[in-house]
Amino acid sequence: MIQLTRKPIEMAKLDHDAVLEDCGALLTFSGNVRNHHKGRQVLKLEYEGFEPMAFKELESLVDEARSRWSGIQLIQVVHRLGTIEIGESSLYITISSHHRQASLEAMAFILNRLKQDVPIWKKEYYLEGDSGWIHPTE
Amino acid sequence: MTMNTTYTIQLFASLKEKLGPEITFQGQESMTAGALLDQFFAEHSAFDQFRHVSRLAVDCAFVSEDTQIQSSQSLALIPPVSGG
Repeated sequence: MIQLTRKPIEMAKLDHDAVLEDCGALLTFSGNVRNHHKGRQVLKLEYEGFEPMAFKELESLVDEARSRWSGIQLIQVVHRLGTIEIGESSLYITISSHHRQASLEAMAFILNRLKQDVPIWKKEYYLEGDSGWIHPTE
Repeated sequence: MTMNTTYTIQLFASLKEKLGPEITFQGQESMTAGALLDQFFAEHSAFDQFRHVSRLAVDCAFVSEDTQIQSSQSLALIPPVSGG
């Protein structure tokens, strides 16, 4: 299940849906908006996505994870877009699998690839009143 | 070299903020993705630092720099991403 949303992520529902009777492992990840970056105080974030492509890239990542690790029964990925306040979740992922190793490895794979290939960008708004888009080059 | 074809490229994030949601420019009738990126960044040198870390997407999929591009395709310039 892939979702791009401008509303707060419904984590309790995702957690509930991720509980499957044949899965002994349920791994969840929440990427939360942090109040600092490189020594500067961040007030809020704004996320922009190239939505049709971001959706396709996320689908492709999930498909690849399921083909690389056996025993994964469900992957849910929800990414927020728009303005997000400090402490809120901007990304929530659940992976349900028969055994823990598949979930642990697939989670790292999805997170690393998401940060390389999924066309979503964040803009930070700073305490001093300026702002800037984040384009990591390393 | 004739520049007789109009290409339209969608832009995002810092490029969109400075240049607008899309940009058109004149190019050769058939160009590679790499040549198209070269031309874009030559015309917008303020974004030079993104030349070798940006990718072109055609119809919502990344393409290699040697891919031949047609102006009728949906083109998007993808600078380094920062989702998550």
